[in-house]
Amino acid sequence: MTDPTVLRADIATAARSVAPLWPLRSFVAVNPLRGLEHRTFDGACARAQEWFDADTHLAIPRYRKLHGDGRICDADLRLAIRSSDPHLGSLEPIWVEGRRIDPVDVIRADLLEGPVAAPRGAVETNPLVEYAAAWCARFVVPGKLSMPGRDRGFFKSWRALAGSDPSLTRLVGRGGRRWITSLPDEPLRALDAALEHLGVDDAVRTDYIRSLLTSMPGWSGYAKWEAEWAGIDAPTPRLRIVDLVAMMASVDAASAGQLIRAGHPSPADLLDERVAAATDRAGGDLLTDADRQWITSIIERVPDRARQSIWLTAHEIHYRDRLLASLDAPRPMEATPQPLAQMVNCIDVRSEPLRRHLESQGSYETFGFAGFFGVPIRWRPAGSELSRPRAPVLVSPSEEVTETSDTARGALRLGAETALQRAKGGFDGPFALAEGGGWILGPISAARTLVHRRRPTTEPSGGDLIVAAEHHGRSGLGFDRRVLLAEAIVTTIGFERFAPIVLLCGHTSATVNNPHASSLDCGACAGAPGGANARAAANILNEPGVRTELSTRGIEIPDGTWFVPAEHDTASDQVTVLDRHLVPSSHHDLLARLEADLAIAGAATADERARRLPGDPRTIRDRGSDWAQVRPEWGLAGNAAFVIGPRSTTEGVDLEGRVFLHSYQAEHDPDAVVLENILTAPLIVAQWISAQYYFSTVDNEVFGAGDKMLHNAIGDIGVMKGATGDLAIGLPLQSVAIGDEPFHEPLRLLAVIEAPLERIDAIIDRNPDLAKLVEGQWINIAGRSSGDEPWSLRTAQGSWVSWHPAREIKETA
Amino acid sequence: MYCDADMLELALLLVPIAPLTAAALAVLWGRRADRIAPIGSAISTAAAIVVMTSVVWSGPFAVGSSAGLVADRIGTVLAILTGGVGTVVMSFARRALDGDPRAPRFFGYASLLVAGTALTAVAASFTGLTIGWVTTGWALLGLLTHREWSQAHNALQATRRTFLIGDLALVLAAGAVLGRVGEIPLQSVDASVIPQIVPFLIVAAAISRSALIPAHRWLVTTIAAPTPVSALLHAGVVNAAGVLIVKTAPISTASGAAMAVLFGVAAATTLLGTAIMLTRSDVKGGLAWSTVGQMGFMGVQLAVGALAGALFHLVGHAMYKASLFLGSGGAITAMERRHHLPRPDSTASRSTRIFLAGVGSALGVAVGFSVIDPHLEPAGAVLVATFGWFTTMRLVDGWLSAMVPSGATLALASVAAVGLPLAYVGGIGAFEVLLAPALPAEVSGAIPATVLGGALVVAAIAILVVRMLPGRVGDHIRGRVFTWLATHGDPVTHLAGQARPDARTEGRRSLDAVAGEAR
Repeated sequence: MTDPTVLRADIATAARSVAPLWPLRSFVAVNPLRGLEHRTFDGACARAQEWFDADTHLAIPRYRKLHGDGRICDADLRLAIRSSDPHLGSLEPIWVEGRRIDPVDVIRADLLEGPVAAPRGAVETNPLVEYAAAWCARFVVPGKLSMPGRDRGFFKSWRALAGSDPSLTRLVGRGGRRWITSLPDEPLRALDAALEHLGVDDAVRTDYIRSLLTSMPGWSGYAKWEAEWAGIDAPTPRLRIVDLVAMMASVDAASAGQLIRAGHPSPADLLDERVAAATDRAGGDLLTDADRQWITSIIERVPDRARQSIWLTAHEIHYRDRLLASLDAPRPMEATPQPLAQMVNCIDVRSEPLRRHLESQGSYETFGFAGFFGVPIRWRPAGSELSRPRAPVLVSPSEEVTETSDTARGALRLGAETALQRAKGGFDGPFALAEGGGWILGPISAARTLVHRRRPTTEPSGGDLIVAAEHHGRSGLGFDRRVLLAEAIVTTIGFERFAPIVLLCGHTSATVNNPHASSLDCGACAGAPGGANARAAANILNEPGVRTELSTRGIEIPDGTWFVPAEHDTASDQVTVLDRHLVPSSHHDLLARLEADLAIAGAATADERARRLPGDPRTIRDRGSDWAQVRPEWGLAGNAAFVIGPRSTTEGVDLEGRVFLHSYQAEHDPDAVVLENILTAPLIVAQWISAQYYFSTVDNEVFGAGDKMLHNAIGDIGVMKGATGDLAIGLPLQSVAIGDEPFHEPLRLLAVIEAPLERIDAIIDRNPDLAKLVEGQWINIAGRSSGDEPWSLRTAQGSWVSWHPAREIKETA
Repeated sequence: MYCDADMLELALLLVPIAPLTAAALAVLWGRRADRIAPIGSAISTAAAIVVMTSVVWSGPFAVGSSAGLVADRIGTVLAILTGGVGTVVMSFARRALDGDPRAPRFFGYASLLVAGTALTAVAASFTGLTIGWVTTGWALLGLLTHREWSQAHNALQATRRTFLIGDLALVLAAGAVLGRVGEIPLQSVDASVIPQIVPFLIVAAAISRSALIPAHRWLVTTIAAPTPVSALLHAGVVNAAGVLIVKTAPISTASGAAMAVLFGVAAATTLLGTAIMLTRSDVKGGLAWSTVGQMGFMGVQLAVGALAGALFHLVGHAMYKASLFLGSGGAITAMERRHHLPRPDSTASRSTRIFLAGVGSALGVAVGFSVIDPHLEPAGAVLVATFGWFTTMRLVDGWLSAMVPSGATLALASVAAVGLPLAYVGGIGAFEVLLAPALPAEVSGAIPATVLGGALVVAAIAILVVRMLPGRVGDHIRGRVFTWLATHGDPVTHLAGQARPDARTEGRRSLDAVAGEAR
């Protein structure tokens, strides 16, 4: 009998390899290799290939296509090869018939033309995963008849029913089923018995448990969310990881350990073929034995896996060079006079085009700031009894903000929906309902499909915001808290002056018939629309008492400045002003002008988007309301970099909607408090997003959610692909690819920071979570102390080297 | 309405030929398949509407001698449904499959499916009907493997096996009819000269295609196909039992024994499919098992001779289920929205609910029957009255349980309690009037209303006993029933069994290897 504490510890260790999975009602981007972030990127990828049987890079033919398309240049490739192995330069070249062949040539040719492994076939379905996932779904999301004994927990209730489960008999036979019903009721003791039966001893226990969990990353990730991230939003009864492990191990044990594979076979090594091909290219029969030896030794320096790493680096070099060069490019800079209005947008990459187009309309100043506007709250929509967090998931907000409601609005809907649910939910209701309902639904569906779709309009909000008061037993934001938040907002954004109108523009994406709708919403608001936070922030900043208190702290907001909340619908690129009724009449004309310019900027943003999105460009702004549309917008696809610095660094540059922008002015932040905050919160969230897009693109089958047309929703938890199997993780194929061709360019996030380099180093050094990402090369960093200086790149070892574009570097070899 | 006879014949020909042409063009001209295919189905629909109008105006007509197409009220109604669903689903798919390299294949097979279903609907002879039937099934198999993955193969295997048996039965039946009476219009076949086995073969084909017990398990595997395929399948393929039995009514419904088999199987399927639906957590699984229950219900309607009722159900359910599949992606946001709807402070009292929902809707049904008098056969009337009443009761009760009992709420509940049954009875009545000229005057083999009533009572008692049984015995039985239903509803994986031996040895080996390394 193993000590339960030891078992628990082993389960906890094994569970570290699983990334949490948020319910799809509020999608939160997460690195599927989050449990491996303590390793380097390359090390984590190697592990992931083994554990998940997954690809961690684009296939080499795809990189070759990028090379052919000019998305990776020869110079990028050569620089990547040289930086992959510092000793290459010291190797003597060989001469074949007067032709000089150096090591970089050999590797380059191998990368471009060498033999590559056949693509992995379809992922094999594991019957144990299908079985366990079906029971998880029944437990977590009860149908209209719910699982008996559910309140006793997953393992206990399942085990009580297992004796009469014919699908279990198919899996483990009658004897196995009997053995399972004889197990103890208590999950840890049952797990112990199962492990003993399997002969899994101390040495391999953690590995075994990990292989159970990683074989089903969806439901184990969901269980992990419940345990570690859900907080007060965790449903009851919980799906505990220990229950999940005990259940899977019992079934595996009952089948005598024949269902779970620990690790996956690594793909066949192509070294011999690659050497042969390289030899032929170099001259074949003309080569001496020594030459052949030389070529073999060069190819051996670059194992199969390393080839993809070099390609990835080359791809990153190409983007980095283009980005930094564009920031350096001279452009007409005129000092903006006192701006008409200022707009603060989320750091989200989709804000960049809107900001650029608004700035080109006139005297406007824009800022980038995390889209919850520094106000972490729980939001309770009008009349609802339920509140949801609206803050980055690294923060767990406790204060609640709500609004006055006109309860009649939702009542009819509730009545109608309850009536329909009641009719569907029995043995006697559905028949006449389908017969009759079809004659109503059919024409509606035909109209929704065939008739021209109209642009969605954001519904006006319910009523006045209630920021401070206590209600439903939850406190609102107290005065001191409001002052503190207001101060943090103003200093972090770094206002040097205030325009008469400061638009706090959150974002949302209004789409229909889209299980992954929340993946298009604001990541800084826990996968939800950002309007509520914008309203709360504006409300606080407009409060006279707060302003008075701020002025005693040296922050003077002029009386003529009004903060106006707004919401940018990224599917239609319309900006809707919120709480319009609160805007003083003195500001109405200016607001009207701003809205007119925003309408023009929105149209220009949409036009720009239409060039990248497949389908009829004329429908670009209407796709959110089209129920047949699988690609209403590209979301954050294309995201590649995170620029932390003043707008003057990026202003006037077309960043193609690929860059997170966070306003920052080092000269106002001598203690680097603001910078530390940015590097440890928004940058981390952006890295989660970047990694999510990266892995969903390189292996959509394992790390992504697959084809949207196969999605089968399970409650509001998630989707499974087709009729059976695990909960899907990651992003749908349509969010990152067109057909089977990737649209998103999978790159590691490049952080571009304009701040004194030693401050950056100091912050990295004292924040271990950030340091592991930087040192493990999950994030690349470029920086410069001020706008006048050249860019430097931070190496994995922590030193800085000055940046030169790859095509300008003279080869030393 | 006056219309040139040749034009009408052309229109009738277009009903199956327009989508067939679209299928051929989709194959030849893949890049444009997404534009061509919806047009093919739209032309078919428009042609069917023209033909239908003419049939209602000036009676049925035919193209070709005996082996051609016939324009009657039933066939054209079904053709309008098929073409309409095809048009909508393919328009939907134009956007939904945008960028999918397999889209041309989808549009080809989908058009072929519509052509097959349309031919089944308007075929004059048993042979034509069988050709349409087999084509539809074959096209569906092509759609199931839209994407190459294990679940699609699983769906293909399960469906193909089931369809093969049904198709074989139908081909044998068609052969027997052809051999005995030659190629003549279905409506003029004399049942007495047809071999006794033929009605049973027809019922077997109906069971296989419409997912009735014991052929009920293929349907849930087809969720592995893309959403538009499911919409097409649930609206245009799985309900073919209704088409088949009604079109072959002179032969099939003449046999009391065959109808008894159909009745037993369909009644059991209604109960089983609905029960499994109630255990499902996944949206599409719930929809698929609901369809199984609905097909059982349609089978019961057919077996009791409520042919117009069965067709009303077929058309209504087709539109209902296609809509729900196409909209199934909205489930998550809909649920979140529902969570946030404001709850009322008070709701109607129990007695108000019993009175308005229970008594009110019973009254509504009575009013419906007395005002409209739909001329239903007794068994059909039993079904309409029973389920019209129960459904209205649930709707009104659900409404009242979620609303503040204001005057307006109660007034609306009263209006619904009477209005919904009235509309339902009226709808069926109107449909019956529309189709009556094409339906057999009398269904000789129909199961009598008394048997139907008995079956309803037995089913109700069985459900109540399982639900209400007290104590540990009750809990035990409910646990067993739940487990069996829930797991029976999961798709059986055909490939897992074959793949397992390798996985087993390899799994064993690698686990040993891990253990070895660790030591």
